[in-house]
Amino acid sequence: MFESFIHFYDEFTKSKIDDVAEFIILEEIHTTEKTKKEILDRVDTIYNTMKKSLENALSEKTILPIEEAIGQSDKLTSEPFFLDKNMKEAVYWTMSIAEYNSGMGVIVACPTAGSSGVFPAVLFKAEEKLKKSKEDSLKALIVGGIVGAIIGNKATLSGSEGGCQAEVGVASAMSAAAITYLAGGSLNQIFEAISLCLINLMGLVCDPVAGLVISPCIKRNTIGVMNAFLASELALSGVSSIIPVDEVVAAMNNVGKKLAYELKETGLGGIANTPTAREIRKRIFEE
Amino acid sequence: MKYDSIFDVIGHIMVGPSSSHTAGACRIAYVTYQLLGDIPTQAEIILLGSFSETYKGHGTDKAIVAGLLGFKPDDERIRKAFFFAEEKGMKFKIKKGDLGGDFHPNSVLLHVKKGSKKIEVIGSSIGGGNIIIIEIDGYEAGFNTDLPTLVVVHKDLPGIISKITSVIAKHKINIDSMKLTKNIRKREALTWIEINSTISEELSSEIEKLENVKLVRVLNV
Repeated sequence: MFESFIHFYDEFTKSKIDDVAEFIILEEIHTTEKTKKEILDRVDTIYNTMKKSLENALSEKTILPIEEAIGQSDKLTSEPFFLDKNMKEAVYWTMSIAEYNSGMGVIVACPTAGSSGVFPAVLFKAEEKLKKSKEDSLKALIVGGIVGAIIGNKATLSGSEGGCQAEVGVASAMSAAAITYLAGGSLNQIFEAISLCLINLMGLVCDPVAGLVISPCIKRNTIGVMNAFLASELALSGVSSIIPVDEVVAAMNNVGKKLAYELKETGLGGIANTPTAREIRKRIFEE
Repeated sequence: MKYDSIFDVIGHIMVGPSSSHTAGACRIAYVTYQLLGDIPTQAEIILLGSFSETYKGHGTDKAIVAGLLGFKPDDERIRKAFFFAEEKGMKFKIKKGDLGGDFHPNSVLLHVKKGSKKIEVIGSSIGGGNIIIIEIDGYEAGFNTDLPTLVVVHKDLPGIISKITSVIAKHKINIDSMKLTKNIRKREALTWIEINSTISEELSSEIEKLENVKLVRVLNV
């Protein structure tokens, strides 16, 4: 596994391979001793499971312990006001998967279950919009995976250790990297997209109402999606984050450590500690 | 390094809502089930840190009970775990605890037994469904079950490790990593061995037959 993004960049440049995903597959073969076929089969299973989660999420009615949160995603099938149709649909997809996850549905954690709506919504929408094949998307998934692994090793992927920036923030960065690759972006542009994503969600706290992965988690998945498209658009247009990606990850790790205990998945601070949230908690747990 | 493969990050198919509080918790319990070698008749579940604050909301309690019943993290039955516990005759108690040590915020201590068999496990859920088994029956462990893992409890005598490893070598299997922890007072040791391929029953029963080996368990999660 690469120690940092710059290490990844140097090794990729040295390898003289022109496709980033092919290069990651070789690294995966090297570190896990699996064959290329085994790796691609597993990526295929993940892609199919993500697709199935989305299909189930759109067709099944999800029951959640917070009544107010039930059926909210269905409201997004209406005509858009500001977003274009595709973006609104991507938001609809992510909310649906996030609700399905909260109702104990089967999903792919990416990087976590609480943030599992982001990656599939971004990837499937980008695949559709860019008219790419499933094979292209499988490669994009691999790019997203390596990004999550490098960030995880340098920082954390756990809300209880680093806040929501470590979950939805990283999901957003993984998705942005994947679709920047899918759109034909360079490795530098992929890195810029990751930096921009993490910078824009830096410090995001993990403050689930009543400790449940429902509110604000489901809606935080939506900002993860919009942030990914935005960061990728900026990066592909040539915008730079100014700060190199490894430094951004280090900063994010420091911010996560400095976040108070109450703001790291304990359900004791932030939105979880508002009067309404406290009332919801009481209603659910004292019944 | 915590993540060696892209699949450590995007490879976990699981029941929601929380990879650390639901799937990771289920996985720790599933490992405990495999270590006991059976569904326990009695289980004491002691939740530590963040687990103790928010377990109800994340279904951590259901996930742990499900794991002890032998359900894996992608099993749809997790949401009905309490029902299945009753059906399979497993009594369980859930408590909040504090071990005072430097544990990861999402940790659990499990005491389980069935008949004369009993085991005590401390595990941490470190995010994304990944876990670390911290202690088994007071022995420091430290493996993550990403690879099939062989756990052997044996007398602490010279030459025993070479007997175990030569059985593994005979099966033409390459060891990925291994570690031994001793209990000086009991003159016993726990060795865990990670292997990058499936561990056959034949291999584990051959090790079980070795002199001075007390217990062999194969963990495949």
